[in-house]
Amino acid sequence: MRQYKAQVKLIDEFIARFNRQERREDVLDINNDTLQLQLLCDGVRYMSDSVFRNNCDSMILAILKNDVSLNYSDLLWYAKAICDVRYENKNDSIEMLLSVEQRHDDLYKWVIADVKGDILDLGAYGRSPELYIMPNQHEMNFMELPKLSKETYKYVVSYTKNSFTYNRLSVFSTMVYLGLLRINIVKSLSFVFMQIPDYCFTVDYFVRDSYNCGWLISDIQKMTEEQKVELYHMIH
Amino acid sequence: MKKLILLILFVGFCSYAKSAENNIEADIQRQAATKVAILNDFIKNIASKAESLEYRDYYRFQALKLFVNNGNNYNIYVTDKNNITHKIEKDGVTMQVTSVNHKDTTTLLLRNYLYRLARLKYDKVEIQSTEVSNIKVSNLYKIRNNEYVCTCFFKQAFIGYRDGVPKYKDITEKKIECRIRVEHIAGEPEPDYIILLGDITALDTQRIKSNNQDEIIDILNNL
Repeated sequence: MRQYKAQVKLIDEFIARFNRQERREDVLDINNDTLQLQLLCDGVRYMSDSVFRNNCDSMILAILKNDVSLNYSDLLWYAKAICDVRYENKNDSIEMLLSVEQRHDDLYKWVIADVKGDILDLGAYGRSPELYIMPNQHEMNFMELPKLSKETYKYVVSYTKNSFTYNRLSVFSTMVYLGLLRINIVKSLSFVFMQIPDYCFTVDYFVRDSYNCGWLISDIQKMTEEQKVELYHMIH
Repeated sequence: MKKLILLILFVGFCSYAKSAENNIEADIQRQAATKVAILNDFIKNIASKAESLEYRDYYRFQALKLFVNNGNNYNIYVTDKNNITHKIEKDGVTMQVTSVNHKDTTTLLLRNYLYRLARLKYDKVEIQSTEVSNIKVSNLYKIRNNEYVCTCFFKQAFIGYRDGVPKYKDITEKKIECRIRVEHIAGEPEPDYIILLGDITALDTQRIKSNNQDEIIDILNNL
């Protein structure tokens, strides 16, 4: 039972412990904020990886100095879901980034912000210099168009204007809309938080026979505000 | 002085209102956990080989009543940009199922899962779940006026016996969605909270390694 209570079972529970609204009561010094935050880190990595340990401790100092708290409605966190998908009768996987968006007033929702995966890469074959619509096609009723959609469809970007760029999210949406792509299951899930000045951390779910388990900080990166702005624009 | 008194009264009122709001949320969370505990009790009955198939199927139907639309398929109506309404058929409540014997997670319709649960090919089945007071409930998230959603986390142990020997033993971590509708009844000072259960995820399944009966009982008691 003590292990069950120590486990960080829900993301809401992680956030409540991070904000010190809930505390691990099975420790000697319950009111020690630094300790409570250290217990939210992957203990195995904390003990074995000195870089992670130093980042952890520095980040905790920043959390307490700036009195940082996490909120569900924050714009500076997102989810990363690795999804098993079915495409062209084959199983594959994609990475999906999701962020929280306001619907109106106090109503929120999760939205798909970006997707990554080989099957979404229209430019996988790139632009080939050998493939183009011949200069005389205006006289031929452009009869090459049916051929390009049948014979060289994987090189479709070769036939588009030079300035053409595509958006992976549009590709994903189109494939789902046409029933070509089905998501089977979310294979793994992690969360990235950028609310702490100069830091960004990832939370993963740890399954182990230990009091240090459940949703825990698995990675910490130093991040400048410019890098955060770039990431922010990617997810919003 | 008057302004100071008014300010103190105002702050006091806001604190009281917030405290009252927190109490309501805590009350709803407790009711959600209770609903999940009732489901887990029904699941024990559905799997109980000591009872008749008629008994097990009775609790199967009782369990389905705890869920959105009784676990059945249902229709939703969405309006497009031209104001035309389209009917979309939704599958009923789904449940993820895991096993220590294979790594893939399967998604079943809940009604099919419960049907199979009542007909498992074991001589005896023991199912034990986290006590109601220990079910962890998330925050309430508002989805529309008078409607909220939350998630409950619990663990469930499953032991299947053949010829008196435990042949399959596992503990699974599960999360279940709870939909809460607030109904204000004329003449009643307090609203009613209608709680219906939704999809169930299976996070992780671990084999129970021990064959010792006392150790197994200890594991079941510490869920």
